[in-house]
Amino acid sequence: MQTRIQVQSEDFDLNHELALAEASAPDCGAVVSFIGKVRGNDNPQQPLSHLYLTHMPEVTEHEISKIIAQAAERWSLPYACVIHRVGKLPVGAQIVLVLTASGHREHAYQANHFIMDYLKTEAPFWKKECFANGQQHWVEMKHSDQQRTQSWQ
Amino acid sequence: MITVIYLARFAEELGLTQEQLAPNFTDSDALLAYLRQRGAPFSEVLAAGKVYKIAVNNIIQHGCAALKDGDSIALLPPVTGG
Repeated sequence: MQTRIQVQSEDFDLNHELALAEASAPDCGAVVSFIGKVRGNDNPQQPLSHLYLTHMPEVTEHEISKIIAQAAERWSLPYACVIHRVGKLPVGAQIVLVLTASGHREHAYQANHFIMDYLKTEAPFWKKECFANGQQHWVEMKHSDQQRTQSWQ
Repeated sequence: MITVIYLARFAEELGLTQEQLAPNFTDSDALLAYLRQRGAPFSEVLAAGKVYKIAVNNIIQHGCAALKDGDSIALLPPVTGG
């Protein structure tokens, strides 16, 4: 299995990542990509300006690699890529890319879903919402995210 | 000495990113109990259920972990990435 893990402030380009996947795992008939983006209007009364994302640099990439390895134990996963951005991310910005490539779609779909669910509850990232009116607060972990992760166990 | 590292909201709410403590804690539960008995803001910010995970020497641990002189222990709030 080949993996590509990046934690970066810069944006990423899906087409570039698809080309890397194709070059790394040319025989894969199924490629699934998920991109998470910054939503602006969860609360119309309080529009968001941007998210601020922080992480634990010495630990994050290792945790992501563990999540990918767990996925590879369950599905055929010749190639997986996770790119997670940190820093100041305005509304509409891309936050995260999970790209999985496999011989058949079910493996690529399932592995992608699994990796994303585990990223939400296991990888050491933290989001702060910074609103247009200057207020800001740290996002609370969602119980529904924990339930999704537990549903794989 | 043990180095205690506070991450994300913990650092902000405690106004502290890290501190060093004498190594009289055998495990992470004993350290957390010590920090909580300091009173506010530690007792509130680090209340049971608010510390999602710990990392000892940059390895994330599940549950209570043994501590020894020279270790660094990071306290992680519930994660919200993705």
